[in-house]
Amino acid sequence: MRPTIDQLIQKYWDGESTLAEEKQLKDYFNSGAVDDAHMSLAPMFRYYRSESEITTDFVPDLSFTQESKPKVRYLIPKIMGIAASLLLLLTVTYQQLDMDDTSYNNKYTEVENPDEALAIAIEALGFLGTKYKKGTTPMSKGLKNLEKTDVFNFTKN
Amino acid sequence: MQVKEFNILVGRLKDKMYRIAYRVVKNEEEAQDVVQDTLVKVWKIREKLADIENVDAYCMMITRNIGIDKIRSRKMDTTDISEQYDLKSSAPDPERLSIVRDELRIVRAIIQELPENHRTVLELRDIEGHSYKEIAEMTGYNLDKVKVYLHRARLKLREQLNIQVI
Repeated sequence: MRPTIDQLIQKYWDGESTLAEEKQLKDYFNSGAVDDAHMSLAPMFRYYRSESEITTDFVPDLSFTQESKPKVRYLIPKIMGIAASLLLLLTVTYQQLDMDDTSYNNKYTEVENPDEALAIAIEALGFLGTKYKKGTTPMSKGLKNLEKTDVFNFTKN
Repeated sequence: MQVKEFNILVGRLKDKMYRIAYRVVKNEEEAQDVVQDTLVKVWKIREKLADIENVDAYCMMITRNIGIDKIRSRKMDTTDISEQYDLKSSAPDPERLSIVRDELRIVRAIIQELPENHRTVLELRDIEGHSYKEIAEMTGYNLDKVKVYLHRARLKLREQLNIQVI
């Protein structure tokens, strides 16, 4: 047979009530349908209920849970990044060297025929001569102007 | 215990830890500090938690102990704590709400006057709903003492509230 509220209250005072029975009492005294005979007990059980429902807005700082992660796990992406950069650098350098070698072979060819070689050499020297002339003409003009000035005629004094 | 499991544990126990800490230190900020310190400690011993029968009760024991250490390290502030709680009530009538608040304040004041060991056992049983065994684990009292303290605390409360024996 299910115990009545009076019996539950008696068990409570005697320290013989179970947690389930105590919850039943709290529910009863917080229900709003409390018998007048039990009203004097209501504040006590209401207090228990209200205290058990107190919550906090406090948000604990849980950053300490991140510290214990193995360091290797953090290093792996960095190591992989460095390795990838080195690989890229090596690839580019190798390709550059290879390209230089190829372009040299493409640009310069050996001429076997002496007449042809002479004609090419004359043409090249002629080209160089025009460039040389272009460079020395303004220079000689400038030197002539300098000779006209007194500043460099030390022997006159 | 992994971070995810720990976060679940924090979500489940945070409010309860706070209430227990608050009842010990009687100060909101210090109660938050106690909760924070408790969580750090629990995280440090997370590998051992698998061997513990009742993790929740164990965490409450740590909370209580850290709270006690905190009040030992300072002079107790005896300000009225009744104003610091935001009491919840379904009563819409302000007059009724006021009466309920007064009633709860009286009960709280009486409980605060109980001897510390009686009060602790009463709060852990009647407010937090722990079993005698859990209370014994949390407080370090043996089972018989837990029962005796609880019985005495209830009788004192009944006497102070002038409740007629039914």
